[in-house]
Amino acid sequence: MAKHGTTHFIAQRITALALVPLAIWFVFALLSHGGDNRAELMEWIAGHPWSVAIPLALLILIGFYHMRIGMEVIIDDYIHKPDLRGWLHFLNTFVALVAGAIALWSIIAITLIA
Amino acid sequence: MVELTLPRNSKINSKGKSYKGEKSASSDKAPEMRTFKIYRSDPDSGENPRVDTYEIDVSDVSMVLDALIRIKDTLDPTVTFRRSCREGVCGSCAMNINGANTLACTKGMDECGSGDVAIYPLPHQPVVKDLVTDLSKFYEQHAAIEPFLQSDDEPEKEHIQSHEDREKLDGLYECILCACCSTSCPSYWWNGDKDDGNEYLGPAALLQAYRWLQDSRDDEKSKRLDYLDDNFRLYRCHTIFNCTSVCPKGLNPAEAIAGIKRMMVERAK
Repeated sequence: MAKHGTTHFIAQRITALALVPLAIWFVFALLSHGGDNRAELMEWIAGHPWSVAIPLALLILIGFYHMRIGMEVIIDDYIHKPDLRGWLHFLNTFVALVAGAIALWSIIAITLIA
Repeated sequence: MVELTLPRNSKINSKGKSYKGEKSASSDKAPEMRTFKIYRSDPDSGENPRVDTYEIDVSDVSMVLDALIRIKDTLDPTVTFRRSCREGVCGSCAMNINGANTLACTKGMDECGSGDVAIYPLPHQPVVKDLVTDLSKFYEQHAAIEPFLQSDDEPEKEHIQSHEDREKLDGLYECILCACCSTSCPSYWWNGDKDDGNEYLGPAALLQAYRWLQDSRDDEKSKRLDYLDDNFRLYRCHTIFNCTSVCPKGLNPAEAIAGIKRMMVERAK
């Protein structure tokens, strides 16, 4: 995973900046819906596609991407066996893709299908 | 996995010896005995390193290097260390004194607190003997950034540089390559010589890379930045700042690395 350090560096910072407002919004949104049951939460997402579903999707996409590149730095730092490092990079990307896809699909399903 | 423990042959054994000196013959002051705990290692002997204890009179000693020379002179001629200029110019006597890398010749005895003085070699470098480390990799990395002027011009007399452009090199060119900064950096410990093609160049080499990137007479900025644009060579710097806090010349390698990153981002725009 060497080379192209700068692309990585910029991506990490831009996603970090984007996550600041999204994470603050998410915390406040969750706090104000703390007492909701499942149906009410689904309605909250499905009923506000622009103000809830889309920010939520952005949070998931950017969050998982940021997590993946952050994890990549940690793996590069601490793992000393090149083979193991390669495998962990693969696993890292795989987990981020699968978890991100499931979360994104859930929002699409709640908003457009359910 | 991550390597947190020392290799078996680097662990310090308990076979350290003790030496006690006498009042200094050249001092007319009251004797002031100080204890030095010095790392002793001779990899060729196959034995693990040990820590020897030396007690000497420091009433007429001003610098730690003078104390080391007194120990070698009066107590134990086998203590091995590098030294040359004794005035912070050559960088030979870089070592770890009381937990921080510095030059023994510019570290005053009055800066060593009141307890024992612990002297170890530069961290995480192969030890040749006692306080002498093998800095081959460090020098290789310095050579890799091509620390020399590369200009397209071939002036008849000399390359002209304005005073303002010359000032940009202040704080960069003064590096004496003592390796205090690079060997104090945890990221350099772990990634300085990681595996084929993956190595963090370390603060000293990057400071010099920035020195040439800032030189108005140099025409190979793009090539220099291309070489550094790598997850390992440059971006293993995680702004720990040990480099800046230990530099015995008061330079700021961390700022230089930030400068390189800024140039990288501006180039990518």
